[in-house]
Amino acid sequence: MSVAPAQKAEVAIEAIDVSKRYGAAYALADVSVSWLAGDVHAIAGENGAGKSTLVKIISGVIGAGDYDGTIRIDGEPVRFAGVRDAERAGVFLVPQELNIVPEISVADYLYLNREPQHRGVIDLHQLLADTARWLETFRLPISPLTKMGELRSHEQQLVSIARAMTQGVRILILDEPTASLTAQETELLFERVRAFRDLGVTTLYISHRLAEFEAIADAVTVMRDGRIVDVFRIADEPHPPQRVVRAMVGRDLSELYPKETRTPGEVRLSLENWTVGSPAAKRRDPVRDVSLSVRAGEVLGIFGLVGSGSSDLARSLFGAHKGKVSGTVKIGGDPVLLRTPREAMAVGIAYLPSDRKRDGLVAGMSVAANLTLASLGNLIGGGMIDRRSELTSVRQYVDALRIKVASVEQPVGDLSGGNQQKVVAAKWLRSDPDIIVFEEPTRGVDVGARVEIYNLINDIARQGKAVIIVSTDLPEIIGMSDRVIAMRDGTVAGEWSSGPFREADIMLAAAGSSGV
Amino acid sequence: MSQTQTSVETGKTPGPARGLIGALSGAQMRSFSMIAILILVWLIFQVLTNGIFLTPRNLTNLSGQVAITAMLAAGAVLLMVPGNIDLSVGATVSFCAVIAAMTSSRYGLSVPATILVTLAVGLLMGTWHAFWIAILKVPAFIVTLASLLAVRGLALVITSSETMAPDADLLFISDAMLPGWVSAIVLGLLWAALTALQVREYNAQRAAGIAASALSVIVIPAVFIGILAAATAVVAIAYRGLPLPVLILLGVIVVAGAILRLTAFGRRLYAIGGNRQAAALAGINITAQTFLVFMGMGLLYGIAGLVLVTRLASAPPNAGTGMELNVIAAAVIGGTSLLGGRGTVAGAVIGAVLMESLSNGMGLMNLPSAYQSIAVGLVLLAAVYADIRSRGRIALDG
Repeated sequence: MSVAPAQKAEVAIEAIDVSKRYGAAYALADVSVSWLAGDVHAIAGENGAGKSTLVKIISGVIGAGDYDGTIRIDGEPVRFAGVRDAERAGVFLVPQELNIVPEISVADYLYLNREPQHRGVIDLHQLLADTARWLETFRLPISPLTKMGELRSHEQQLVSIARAMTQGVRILILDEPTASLTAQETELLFERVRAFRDLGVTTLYISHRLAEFEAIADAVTVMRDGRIVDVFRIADEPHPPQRVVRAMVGRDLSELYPKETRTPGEVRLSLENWTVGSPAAKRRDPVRDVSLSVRAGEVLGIFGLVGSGSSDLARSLFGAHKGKVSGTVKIGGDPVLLRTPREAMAVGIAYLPSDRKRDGLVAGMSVAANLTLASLGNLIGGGMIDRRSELTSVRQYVDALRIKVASVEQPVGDLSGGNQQKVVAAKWLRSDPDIIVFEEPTRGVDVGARVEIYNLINDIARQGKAVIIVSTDLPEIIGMSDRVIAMRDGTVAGEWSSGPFREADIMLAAAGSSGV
Repeated sequence: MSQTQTSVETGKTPGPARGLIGALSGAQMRSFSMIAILILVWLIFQVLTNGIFLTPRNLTNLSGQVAITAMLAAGAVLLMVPGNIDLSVGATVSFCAVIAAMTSSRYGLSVPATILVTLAVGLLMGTWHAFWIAILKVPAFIVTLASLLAVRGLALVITSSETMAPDADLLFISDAMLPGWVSAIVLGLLWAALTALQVREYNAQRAAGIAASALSVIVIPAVFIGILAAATAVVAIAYRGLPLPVLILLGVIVVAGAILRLTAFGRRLYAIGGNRQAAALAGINITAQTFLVFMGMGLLYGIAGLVLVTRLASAPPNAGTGMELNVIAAAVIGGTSLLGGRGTVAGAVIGAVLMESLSNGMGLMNLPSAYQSIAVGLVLLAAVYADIRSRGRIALDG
């Protein structure tokens, strides 16, 4: 470490008994923690551990009144109603998905809503001079007039951080800033973060990349299931990544995963040198040179953290990815093209997206209409939809999958998450695919319904279909898969063809600390 | 984050206890309350015009105005449901009218040939839109706005800005009347077909174990539509019969309504408008669907152009100015969403009747057309506000 921070006594941020519920589920359960001023605090934890929820509360994204408990900044209790309140108090969140405006210039973005004015007119001279000064401070070799959309991701990130700096940041929160950065860009970002530390800024740094912690953090906080399970200082710990992984995964896999033993059949789908390009220019390819295969009656689990490319891989298998795709895909040994969802469906592939609301359901349409949407063709009689066959078929699926509905004619948007997911599953089962890709099959699904969805996946595999589960939920992958692949940086970082799978092995491969 | 909040709020606003009848009943409720408003408006005009408004003669006259707007509104629903819009209607329809006048009088084509040429020109313009919107992915708003300007100019060019009259033989399109008793039989058959459809739907729901209520699925629609059909038949018999434009309109309603309600094509249009991304991921061919609805709209330009030119007995190249806004307003008043995913042909037709009734009634009262614009504008605003209120979606903007 370049700077050995003096042990300071002051606490910059303190959370006392903070809880946040979404429906019946706790995203945060009585979290109490304090972070020292002037340090870089790394926050680690699996998806759904509560990291993002906690920083959203601190930064006012989740307003006072929408959570329980107390937040203190520099010892003073604060109640931010919104992001503006928090920013006025010097607390800034740079989210993972940057809220940039691609069409406006760096200068305009840096001073958006706070433009220097002279007699009611924007003072262009001052605006450009101030911007140039900040770009110099950040060692960004770009013109103040460059459009935000033309910048590379780390440059956009640095400009977003600069925007926080221009407004007098005291607490800077970075949510997975390096997920889409290269090693070199990451190092540039770290350099700036170290510089802020020297200026007395307190940084909260959320990351899945454990290897980065030693390079950038003074202390590490580990979260799991909405609680804080470990806090330690980097200087006190000889093997930080191992300690973080232990704390992250230290839970017993209960009866949640009704795993079955199966004998897989012949290879159904295989990928060779599969590369998926980014839809945006100047970004590295999210998936690079992946080769894998899945057999009939087999459940292949693909584990990857956010930004690992596993999600892009899943979408590309269904022809639903926006970027360019290259490589060979074979179904039952024959090369096929998967350029559109229609082509993928034609060769027997189905895809259950992670974001049901956005990609899987037409919320305003009825349960029945959603359930038959992908297979309307076999309901046509005399050019019209045969309502009797439709409703009878829908009834069968609703009963078989135990989907809880008041009526199959009610809007699907009114159902709970678990039942919505079952409708999506039924939609695809009805089209009778050979290969089903589940992406985050239980996201936003409560525990009871989870087991039912796992049972459904087992049923599907037993019928001889090939199943691919792509998930950021490691216990789910381990509990459900016959074979596991870990992805990191768009490539396969590890493969385990027979159990028992060790959570720590897979997590280390995916988080990029296998060499430690 | 705002998205999370939105989705949470949406989750909290499930349809109230009307789960049994589902969305269908919501659409029915809207149709019925609009018909109630329509009847109220008619009664008010009846009083204000000293009994002229509800004479068979005036209603027949009104029907001619309604036919054009309503058939275009029915077509507009088909393209607004998947989230498109058509701003070109006024220009394209009047262009077809000009073509009909030119081919029949200047070039002396026979009546069937004139009709064919006019429909072909309409279809061509629709295909032009379809090509730009579906294949080249230019927003429908822009493509049809471009047509609004360009086609209007084209009409002025080919006519040298002169008003042309169609051949007298063509005028039967507006003047022909189906005798009263035949009209009554046609209307009766339509009613029977519609009721049979509702019975089928009821049986299908029952067979699938849905606790459907016969009252809401069969009886109420049958009674309402029965009253409408009977009233129309009475007017037709009392005057000279049912005008041909009304028959054409009925045909358009049947075709458009059947496509939207009964076919997989129509179901997919709702899915595209409701969630384009999810529709694409369900394997729906959005390009082909979009292409076809704009082609269909093109055919309607031709049909409406023929009705327009024969109704006016001339084709001024600037006829139909502002028609596109009336058409969109009719669809929206009838419950069609500008964002897509919602809309019914029946609603749009009722919307068209309401709007044309306002302008007809105010015309009878000798109010300047400026007042008609004011009234139509305010009705549009009130109708959409009432619709938003009844859906309880206002909180989403907050």
